[in-house]
Amino acid sequence: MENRKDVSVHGTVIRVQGAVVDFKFENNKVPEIYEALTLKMPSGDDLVLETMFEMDNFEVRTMAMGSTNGIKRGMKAARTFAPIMVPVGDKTLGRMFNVLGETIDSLEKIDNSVERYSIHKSAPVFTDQKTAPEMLETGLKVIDLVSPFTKGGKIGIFGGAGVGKTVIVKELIRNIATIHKGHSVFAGVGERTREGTDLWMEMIESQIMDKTVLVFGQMNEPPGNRMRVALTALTMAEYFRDKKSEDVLLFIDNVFRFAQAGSEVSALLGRMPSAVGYQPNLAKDIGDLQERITSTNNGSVTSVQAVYVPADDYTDPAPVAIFSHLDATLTLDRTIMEQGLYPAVNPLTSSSKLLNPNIVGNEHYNTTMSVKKILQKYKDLQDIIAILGIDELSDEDKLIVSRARKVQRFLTQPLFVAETFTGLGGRYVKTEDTIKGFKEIIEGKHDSLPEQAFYMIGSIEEAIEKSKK
Amino acid sequence: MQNLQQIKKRIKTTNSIAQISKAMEMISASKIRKVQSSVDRYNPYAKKIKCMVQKIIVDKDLADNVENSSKYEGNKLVYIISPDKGLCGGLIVNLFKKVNSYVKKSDYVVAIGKKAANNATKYYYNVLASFNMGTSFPKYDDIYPLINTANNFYVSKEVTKISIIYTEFKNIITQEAIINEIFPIKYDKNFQNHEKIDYIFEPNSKQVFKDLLPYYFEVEFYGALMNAYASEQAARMIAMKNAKDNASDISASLVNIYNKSRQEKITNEILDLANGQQGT
Repeated sequence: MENRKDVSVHGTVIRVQGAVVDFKFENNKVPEIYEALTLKMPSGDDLVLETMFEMDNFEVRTMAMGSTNGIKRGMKAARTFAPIMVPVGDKTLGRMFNVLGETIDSLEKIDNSVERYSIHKSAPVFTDQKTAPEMLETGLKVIDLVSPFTKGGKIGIFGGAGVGKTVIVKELIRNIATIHKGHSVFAGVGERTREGTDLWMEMIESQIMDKTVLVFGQMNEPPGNRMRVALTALTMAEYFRDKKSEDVLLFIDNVFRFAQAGSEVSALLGRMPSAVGYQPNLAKDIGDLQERITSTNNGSVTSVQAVYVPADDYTDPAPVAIFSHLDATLTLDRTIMEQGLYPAVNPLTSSSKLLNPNIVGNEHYNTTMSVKKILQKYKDLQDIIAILGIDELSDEDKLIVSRARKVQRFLTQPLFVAETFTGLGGRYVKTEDTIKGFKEIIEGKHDSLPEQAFYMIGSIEEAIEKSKK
Repeated sequence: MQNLQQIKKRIKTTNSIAQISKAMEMISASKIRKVQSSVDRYNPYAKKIKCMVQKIIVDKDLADNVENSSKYEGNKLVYIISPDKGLCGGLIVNLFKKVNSYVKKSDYVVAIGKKAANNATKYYYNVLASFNMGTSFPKYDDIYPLINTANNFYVSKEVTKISIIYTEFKNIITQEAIINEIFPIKYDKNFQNHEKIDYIFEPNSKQVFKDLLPYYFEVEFYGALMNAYASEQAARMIAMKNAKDNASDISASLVNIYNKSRQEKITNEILDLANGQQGT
C-alpha cells in the first residue's frame, strides 16, 4: 500500500442498500479491497466502512461497520489508506472492545501510541504451523472422555438453539482460562449482549479479567460488525502468539454468526446466493478465518468455538464448512437434553483427532471405545424396546441396557456456571478419575447401584456415596 | 434433515414387524378360543377330583399317612412349565422370578418348554429331563412321562416333595405364576367346609385312595399344562397386539418425518432455483 496518507481523497455516496454503501471516486483513486473509509455522519460520529468490491475504475462497494441510518447520496467519505486497525498488546488486557478496536467499557480511551494491527492478514505458512499432540484437561467428564481437547488445537461445540453451547463455553472459560497462565481472548459474535455482560462481570469477579481481552459484536449490531468482529479478536490473539510467543486461548461464541452475517449482506453485495441462501464464497470466508486460528512454531492458539446449527440440521452448509477445520468436535443433541442429561453432548457423534491410543494411551482409548460401543448397542436396542418391551430382551442385553443407562447418567455433570440452575455445586473431574469411573461401570463393578446414583455427580466415588443415602 | 433412504428403510422394517406381530397375534387369538373352552370344560372335572381326594384324606385311616408325609424334609422335585418361544411379554420373566425364589440348588428340576430348559441350565439347577412344550394344545398322553419321573423319584425316596411351577390362566389379560405343591397332599380349607358325610369305603379307604391317586396326578399335571399353554397364548396375543400397535405408531411417526424431510428438500431446491434466477 502506498503511503498517501497526506493526500485526502474523498468518495461520494451514490447508493445505500442496508449495510452496503456504494461510493464513486474520481480520477481512478478507488480504495483497495479491505481498505477502511471514514464517513462523518450527521450525528457527528465517524462511520467506518470497509471496501468489499471494486466495481470498476470509479465505483466501489463497501460494507458499513455501524448503522447506515441517515446516510444520504452525495455525502463524502475519506480514504484511510489502510484496513481497519485495532490496538494490540498489553494495553488491551482487561479491556472490552468493539469490532473497530474501540473500547466499550467506559474506562479511559486507548490512545494512538498503542500499536495497531490490521484485522486482515494471511494465515501462517505451512512451514510455520505446528501441531503438538498434547491433551488439555477440561474437567468435564464427557469432553475429556470422548473428545479430548488438544493444546493449540481448534475445538468446535455444535448445537441447535438453546441446547447449552454458551454454558459449555463459559464452563470451559472457567475451568481452562482460570488456571491458564497466559492470556485469553473472548470474541462475542452475534450472540446475546446480556451474556457478554454476564461474562465480563464473572471475569472481574474471578479476577482473571486482567489477563483477558473481550471483543463484542453482538446480535443487535449490523452484519458488517458481526462479520469482522471475529477477525478483530483473532488479530489481538495473534499478537500474543506471534510477538510474545505465548500460548493463547481464544473463545469464539458464536462462529456461525460470522457466516450468517456474510449471508445477510451477500446478496446486497451483488453475489448470487448459493445453497440455502448462503454466500457463494462461504468456504473461503470461513477458511480465511479458521486458517489464521492455528498454532505456529512461535506460540499457540487454543480456540474453543461455539457453532450454532440452524434447525438442528447438521447438513447445513455453514456448520459443514466449519466442521472440517476443527481438531475436536462436540455435538450437542436436543434429544439428550430432553432427557434432562446435561451437558447434552452426544458421545456418539462427538470426536477428536487426539483420540488415538498413541497419544492418550490405551486405557483412555479403550474406555472411550467401549463407552461408545455400549451406547451404540443401547441405541440399536431401543427400537426393540419400543416395539416389544424390555422383557423380550435377553439377559445379556438387559445388562447392556442397564449399564448403558448408567453410563449416560454418569456422562452428566453439574457445572460451576450453572450452579444457579441446578442447585448443585460444580465439579471438576480429573481425566484419570473419569476414565476409572467409566471403566468400572462397563466392567460391571457398579451393577448393584441404582442408575439415579450416577446422575449429576463428579467422580464415581460420589455414586457410591449417593446410593448409600 | 435425515437421509431419506434411511428413513424409508426403517419405515419398511417397522411395517414388516407390525405385519409379523399382527399375524402372531391372530394365530394366538384363534388358538386361545379353543383353549379357553377346553379349560372351561376341564375345570369342573378337576374340581370334582380334588374334592374327592380331599374328602378321602380326612378319613381316619389315612390321616396318619397324610400328616407323616408332610413332615419329611428333603429335596424337592420341581416341574417348570414354560413356553418354547419368547415374544410373550413378561410371562417368562415373572415365571422365573417365582422359580428363583422357590428352587434350591439341591432340588431336582424337570423342565417343560425350551425356555424353562434354557433358564434352568443357566441357573445350574439339577435338570433331570426336559421336554418341549410344543405349539399345539397339549395332549393327554404327554403327561405320562412326567408322572413316571415323579413316581420313580418319590418311590426311591430321593425327593420328598413334588411341585409344579406354571402360569395360571386367570383370563386373557392376567396370567399369574403360581407354585402348586401337589404332593404330599395337604388339607385344603376350600374343600373342608362341606358338610361331613360319613362315607363307607369299600373295600377300605386306602384301596380307594390308591386307585384315585393316579387320576389326581393326571388331573393336576394336565391342568397345569393346559393353564401354561393357555396363558402362553394369551400373553403372546397381548404382547403381539402391543408390539403391533407400537410398530404402527413408530411407522406413522417415521412417515411423518419422511414426508417432512422430503418436503424440506423440495422447498430448498425451489428456493435455490428462485434465488439463482433472481441473481442472474
